[in-house]
Amino acid sequence: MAERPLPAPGNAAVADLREGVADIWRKTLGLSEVRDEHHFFDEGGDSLLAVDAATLLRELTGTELALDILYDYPEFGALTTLLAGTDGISAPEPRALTGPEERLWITEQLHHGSAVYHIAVRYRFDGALDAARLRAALDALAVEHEALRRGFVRPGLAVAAAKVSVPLRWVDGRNIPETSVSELLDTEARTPFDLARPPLLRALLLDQGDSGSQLLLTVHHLVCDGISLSLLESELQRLYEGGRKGPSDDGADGHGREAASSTGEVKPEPGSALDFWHTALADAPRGLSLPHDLPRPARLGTAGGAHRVTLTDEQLAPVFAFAEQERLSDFMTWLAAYVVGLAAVTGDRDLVVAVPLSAREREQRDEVGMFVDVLPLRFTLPPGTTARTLVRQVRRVVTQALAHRRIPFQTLVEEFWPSGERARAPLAQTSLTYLDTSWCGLRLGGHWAEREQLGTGTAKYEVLWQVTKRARGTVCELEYAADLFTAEHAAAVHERLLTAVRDAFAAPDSELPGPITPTTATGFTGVHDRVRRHAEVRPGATAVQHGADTISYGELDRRARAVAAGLRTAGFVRGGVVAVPMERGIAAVTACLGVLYAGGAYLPVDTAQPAGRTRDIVSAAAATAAVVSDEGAAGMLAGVVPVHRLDELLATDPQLCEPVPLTGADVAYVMCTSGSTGQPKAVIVPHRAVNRLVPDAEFVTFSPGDRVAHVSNPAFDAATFEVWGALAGGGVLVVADRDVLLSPARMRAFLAEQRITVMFLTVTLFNQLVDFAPDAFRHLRVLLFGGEKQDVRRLERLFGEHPPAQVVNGYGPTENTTFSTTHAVTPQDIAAGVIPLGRPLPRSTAYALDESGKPVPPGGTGELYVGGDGLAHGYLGAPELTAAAFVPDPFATEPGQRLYRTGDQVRVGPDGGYAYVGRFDDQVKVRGHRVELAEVEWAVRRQAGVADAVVLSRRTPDGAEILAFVSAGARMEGTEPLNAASLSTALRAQLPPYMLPTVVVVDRVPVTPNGKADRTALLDTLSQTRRENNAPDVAQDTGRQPQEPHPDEVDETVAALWRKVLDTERALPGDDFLNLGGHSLKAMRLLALLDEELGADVELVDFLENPTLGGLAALVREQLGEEDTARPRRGRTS
Amino acid sequence: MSERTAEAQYTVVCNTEEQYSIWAEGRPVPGGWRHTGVSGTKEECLAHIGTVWTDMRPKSLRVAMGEN
Repeated sequence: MAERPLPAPGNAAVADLREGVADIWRKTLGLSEVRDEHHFFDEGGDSLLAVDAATLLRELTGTELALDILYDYPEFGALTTLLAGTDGISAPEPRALTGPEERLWITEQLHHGSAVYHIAVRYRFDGALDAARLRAALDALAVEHEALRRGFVRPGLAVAAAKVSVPLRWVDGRNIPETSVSELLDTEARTPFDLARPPLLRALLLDQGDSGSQLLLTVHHLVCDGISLSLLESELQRLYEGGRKGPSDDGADGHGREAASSTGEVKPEPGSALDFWHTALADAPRGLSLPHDLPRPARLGTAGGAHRVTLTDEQLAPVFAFAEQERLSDFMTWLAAYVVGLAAVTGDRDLVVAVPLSAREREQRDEVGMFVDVLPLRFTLPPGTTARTLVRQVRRVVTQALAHRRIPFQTLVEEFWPSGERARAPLAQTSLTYLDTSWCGLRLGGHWAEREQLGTGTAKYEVLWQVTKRARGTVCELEYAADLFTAEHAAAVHERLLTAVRDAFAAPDSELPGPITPTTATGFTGVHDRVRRHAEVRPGATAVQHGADTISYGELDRRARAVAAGLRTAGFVRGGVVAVPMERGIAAVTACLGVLYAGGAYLPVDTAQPAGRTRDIVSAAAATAAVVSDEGAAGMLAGVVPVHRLDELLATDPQLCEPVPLTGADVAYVMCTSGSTGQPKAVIVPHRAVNRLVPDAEFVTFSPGDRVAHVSNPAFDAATFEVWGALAGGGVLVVADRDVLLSPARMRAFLAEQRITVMFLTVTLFNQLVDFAPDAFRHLRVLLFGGEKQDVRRLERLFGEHPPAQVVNGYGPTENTTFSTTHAVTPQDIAAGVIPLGRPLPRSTAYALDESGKPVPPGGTGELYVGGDGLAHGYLGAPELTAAAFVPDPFATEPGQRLYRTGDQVRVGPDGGYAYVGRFDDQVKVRGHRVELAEVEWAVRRQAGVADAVVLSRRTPDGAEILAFVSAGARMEGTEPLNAASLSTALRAQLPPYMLPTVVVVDRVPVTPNGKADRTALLDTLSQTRRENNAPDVAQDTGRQPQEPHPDEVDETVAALWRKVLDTERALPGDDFLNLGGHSLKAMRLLALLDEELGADVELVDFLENPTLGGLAALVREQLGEEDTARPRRGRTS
Repeated sequence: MSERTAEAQYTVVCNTEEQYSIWAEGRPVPGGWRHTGVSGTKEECLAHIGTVWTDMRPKSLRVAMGEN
């Protein structure tokens, strides 16, 4: 290579620097003379000397140079040029980034070291190239184009070096197998650039002997765009052939340019541009309902793949014939095609697509650089849209957008996108590029090679459709985010997209194919309509999974239609209530969906509660039918309502199910909560309330990739969130059985094996899991908790270990549909020790009001009133209760609105947010269930022999505990004394498990001076009896036995943990766990402790079969496999 | 809560959906709500509502279902 001229030293400082660097080279390498072309390593330099030299260079320049600087700049000339530039002696001033550069720069900052913005183009020549000529041509190219000498430094500045050398790697590829060649090319294309060190262009020349040669150019998008690439090709060609400097005369026009720019000059209207975008993007969708098959992570990475299909001109003939009729440019034709395809695969009828647009000014025509910005174009497809009406819309939207294009995309983002929203790319999550590269390529030394773009294993968007017209055929490539799609699934989506495009253009005046949001006569779309739509679009996709059983959307839809048809055949009409007494699972979901299809409301009934209460609830809710899946439930409800067996309903012809058009006011379900009058209250929840909770919510958005855990009792309204969140969103509802909930180890395994992405837990369950399996949540996308006041220490532990991507506090009563407010928990909240309740859901309100109904100022406390679309209609058959709880809303903008009085006391924070303080009444939360103490007291007082009863609650480490203090009346001759154990047994037949109190028999109920039950005295009684070591009046099964010594260590450990969990001093082999205030969660805690202490994994179901201390000890011994003596098998495991 | 409101006087109000509620007497009634003419203690007002409000469905739903 000939000696290259250095740029003339600008001043003495450069000369001094040069001399200083030369001195370092002379010293380290022992040279007598240093010339520009001297190569550090060729002149005897090695890795140690390179560090020595770099250290001396740092001293010389006074800057923190990289210690490997000599590897990047081994030639003396290049090094001194760089240092002169670094020192700012001769380099141009750094400048701020342009809009297009800034857009890429920001992405680069988020994804360091990613190849997402690499442009890698390959040229396959049938002969050899001259490496030296190529090197000289590339260097000369960098001299002519400043962009090729440009680097980018923080915080966002472009700096051009005076001189650079374009790296060219020459590889002897004559004996390299094809797989190694592609590996080599991939590595070359994907190795990150150091953006601060120009050039952001490099070349690889692979000499394959007789097979010809391959040239790979890799350039960063920050300095190059489509037009630039064509410019580089023609310039490189000219320089290689020894041509002179000059602007390209063949021009890049028409070749490889972004088609949106071909619309030509449009007069800018900067003043009104922002107004235009305000109108265009008002209420634009925040995401695209892509049918991805992987769960959406909290933040998308840049890993990607591409599915490629080449279409022949014949295949595309109908598309282009139609485009010609409509006088559409190729670009607009492909944009219209993409909108058609996207609508078909997403079902979305309101779409935003980012479209690249060249922002080149006329004088920048021959300049290499990054001039492409994107515009978010929005398309709406109302019912009746055809390909023809759509292409006209595309033409109009593109033209209007071009007229208002002088607003950088980044400005639009700042204007329209909430800064906190990181889960999705701002404004648009998809894009389309169209390039005509049919004439693009390189002719070097008489050899012609067409340009081929290589993939870099990255994705710029969730999906990006790259259409490239080549010399033969058109390549359609769907680039997809690997975080969202598997390769097979992306291929299927792409094929479906292409089919929809072909169908639409083959019949341009027919309504567009693909799913249309089911619009009923009323225009309302309920959650069941959405499930229906998923069944039409993805019939084979899994809807519900329960252990080894799964059901697809198609089959779920078919069965639910059969249920609806069966119910209607039996005379069921719109608005009726159908009781569904089933455990969570496929049958329950099928039945509930079927009821909605029939236009009815389902009444979920807790199967764990006593039969009497079930009958009361079914009567209270005025149910007109019941759907059951087992004999027990059928027998229980016989004579109360007409009972239908699910398997019989499933035999009905689904075709008989005519869709029932509903409104948002139609009732979706009726759910019972504890009532203070002693009877449960039936809350009537309309469809619009369910829509506001899940499909329309912003606190968590569900998509087909989601796997939502179904852990809630169907009779508890968190189930609304789980079931309809998953199914209306097209995801998978994954049913967790009770044994999973009650064992932290099994829950951990369930979450990991089932790849759960979204889960709701009551605070009680959440606390238990954090205590025993704090790492269980690490893979969740969103973990929601609620139902009770949270424990900040547990949250602190969670955040300190393996927190999921997002933790949300969900607050709200059943009367306002699961959640009234939500708050994404931050480490700052935990540090502050207060987890706010957060903000109301969409179309909802929340006010803290004082006793006179006036808003409470910051710092004060008041009762929380909530309103909006989530409100229930009221309580079935209870107008007085409804009128007292649902009151006129004096703050509403629409007339006639109501607010629900939650009875919750909240404190108003300085920012107007709310924090939970407590209850105004006797309502308590037990394991997430609302319990009115009055209802429990009413049940206790009805028991034989009870003269007086006081029911209290107190907080325990496991949540609230309900205590019933009872006193006996005058004892009749021959009757048994009032006995806590028999009373407990009697109550178990009347109250659901979470309402069961720990019964304490007292001589009399102590009262305070003003005649009220003395709470303090009663609780003292309790601790006294428990302290007395044999708690004579606390429920017990075995009477008064002296405490027996425990013969071995296992028994001692079991007894110690038993006492700890039940908070009692007493532990006798015959003691019944359930009668001593034990419940399933305490049992779970006890079993978890046993596992921890003794390594004995006792099944909850086994324990509950004989829930005595003796029985438990036997199970533990059995587990440990030790018949006679027992020694702890292992110590603490955590 | 009953302690706070024991002596207070209320009126029975009704909105355009024919949903009933109670409102402190003397306070201006929010838009979209009308007095029914009945007033008294909270218990009296609620008892009255118990006799007149027989269908808990809002009026719009009854109309949509072809009733009135």
